[in-house]
Amino acid sequence: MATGLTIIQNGSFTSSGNTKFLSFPMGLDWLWVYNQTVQYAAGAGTGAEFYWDTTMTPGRGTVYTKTAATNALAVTQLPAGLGFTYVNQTGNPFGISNALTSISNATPPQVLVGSTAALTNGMVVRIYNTVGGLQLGGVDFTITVTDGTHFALAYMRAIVAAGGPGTYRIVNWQSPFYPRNRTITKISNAVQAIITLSVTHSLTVGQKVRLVIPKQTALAYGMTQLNGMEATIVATGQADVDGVTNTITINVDTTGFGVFAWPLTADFPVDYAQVVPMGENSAVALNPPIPVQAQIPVDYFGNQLPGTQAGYLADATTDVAQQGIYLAGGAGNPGGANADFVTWMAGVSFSVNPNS
Amino acid sequence: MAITTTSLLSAPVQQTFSMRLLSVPTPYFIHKIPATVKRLPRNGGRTLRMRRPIALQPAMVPLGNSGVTPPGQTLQAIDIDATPSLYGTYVMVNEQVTLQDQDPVLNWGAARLGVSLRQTEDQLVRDCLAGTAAFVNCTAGANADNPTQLTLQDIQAVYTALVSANAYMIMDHIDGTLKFNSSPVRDAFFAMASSDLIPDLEAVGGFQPKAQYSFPTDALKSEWGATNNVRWLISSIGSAIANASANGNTVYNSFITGMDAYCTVLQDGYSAQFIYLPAQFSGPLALNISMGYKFMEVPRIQQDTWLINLRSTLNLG
Repeated sequence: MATGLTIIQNGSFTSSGNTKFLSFPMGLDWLWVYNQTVQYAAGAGTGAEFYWDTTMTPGRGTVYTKTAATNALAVTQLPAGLGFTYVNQTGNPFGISNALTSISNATPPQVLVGSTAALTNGMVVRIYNTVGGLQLGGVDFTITVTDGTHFALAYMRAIVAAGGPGTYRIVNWQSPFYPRNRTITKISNAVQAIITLSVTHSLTVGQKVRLVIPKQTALAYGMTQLNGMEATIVATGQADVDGVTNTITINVDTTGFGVFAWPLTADFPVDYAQVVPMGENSAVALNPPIPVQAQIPVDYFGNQLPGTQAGYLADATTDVAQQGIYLAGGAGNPGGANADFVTWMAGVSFSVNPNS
Repeated sequence: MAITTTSLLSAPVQQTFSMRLLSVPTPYFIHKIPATVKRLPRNGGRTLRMRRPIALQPAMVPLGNSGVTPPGQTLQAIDIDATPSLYGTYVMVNEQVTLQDQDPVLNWGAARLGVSLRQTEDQLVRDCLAGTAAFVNCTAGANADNPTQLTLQDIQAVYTALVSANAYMIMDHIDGTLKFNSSPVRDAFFAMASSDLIPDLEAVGGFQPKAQYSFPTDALKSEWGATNNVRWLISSIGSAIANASANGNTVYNSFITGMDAYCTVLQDGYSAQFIYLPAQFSGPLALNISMGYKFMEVPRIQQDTWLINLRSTLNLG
């Protein structure tokens, strides 16, 4: 570390079974993670203690697994993508390029890949260079892992299947400033339109947004009457026609508007329909319509974005960038299985090692 | 025959140190140039709330002679909020360095910290605009990527949208004059872009380099030229996102802005602090000197229709 100081921190959390992020503004040289639930429980074969330092390969680490006969700890390396990933949210957010085989015409689209071992629910990916499905290129999508070889573009509408190969990259972090511009995947024709967004949006009731609906073709994006219009968010999380809840509901009646449609692969290159955050409609924020919803900017896992305000100030622009480390979730991984109690101890040390 | 050569010179006299440090590559800081500066007062909470009234509708229907009072309008406003964050960095120097080094380490360290502070501020604005502004993909180019390379058609679409949104231009026109190969410059919005875009920018139809302004001295140092009603500020730290296009190429964000489109909010009394702590503060043995800076700031788009991010890739053909 650059400081030349020694700092030790510790903490604990109850696992949700998902990837856990620990923030370390001071930086980090090493980290011990202890899964108390596993340590104290009978049984064997599960990772109980974990270690990471700056010399280790991103996404991996060391695991100490309880053995069956004696409860002694057996040490080994964590599999790729199932360990620790240190991030400093500056620079290029994109991970390495990975091959994909095809994208289906299901709702939501299913992406066939060699393995999903390094992926977890809530991650964001960007698609590139597909054969067919070109309209998805360069757009970010939150994913859910379907099985060992498929992940879903969780909030995306169905497309004409992309039968050929392409690539994707994990987007390790989003733009550091909240609230963020988001790409629209669906808009309903309704008295209060429901808008679905391609990435977990974190927007809250009362915020004002502007709709950007470019005219790409005679069909896409269809609902051009909304272009440039200001709208107030009156609800979030309402299910769209496909049951997706990464939505905002706005105070605009779109029943007489054209049908929202995405461009096709042949329409490439394309522009994208967007929700652009503007500010706050304080009258709505202070008296939110029924049902009352928490006005807290949250991520995919429901955790409040760091540094953000809640309530009628939830639109406040602020920098949510962090420095810290991701612990892969799940049994046997440092993030733990659901309801596991996990403690950790982290440190910044004097630099005597050129790898530090 | 024995010859005495310079190889016999002792090490300490084999070189002379130049007394001037070499210049450090330092980018142009372009992103705060069009920004309005605002302050969050001390003891004023965490967030600055700005308010813009919403325009009333014109009264187009005659009142007639009935004497009946028509319904009025409601005053409405939109609130724009910004919460500053604290930033800072420092260097720590062992006292023996300052005691024994012939180089004024603390002097040039302070100079580097100053540049680091200003670059941090500039890049924060850049990243805020990249993440929160409305964007338009260049689609009129022919490089088979999405977005395509810059074209005049794409630039025209953006400044037309800004004019249609009643954005005011920042720069007044520059009058023509009797100089060979020069021409007047239109009233203009500013664009802030990466220096990687220079070849594509110069290939845009009608591009006017700064040298062909009728009065080039009216241009900014970082200015590269103009395309119709847009004057381009260029920097090596202009916004560029690697691996971001449909083909996996770098996407360049060119922020084209009108007047008063965005601001930076500074915490009053905390906009930039230089902190020097002599060794006495480092511990019982007073071993280390530190110096650093910290500041509280946040950029914020005030009017989203007055700034558009024009995204493009390079024309690699």
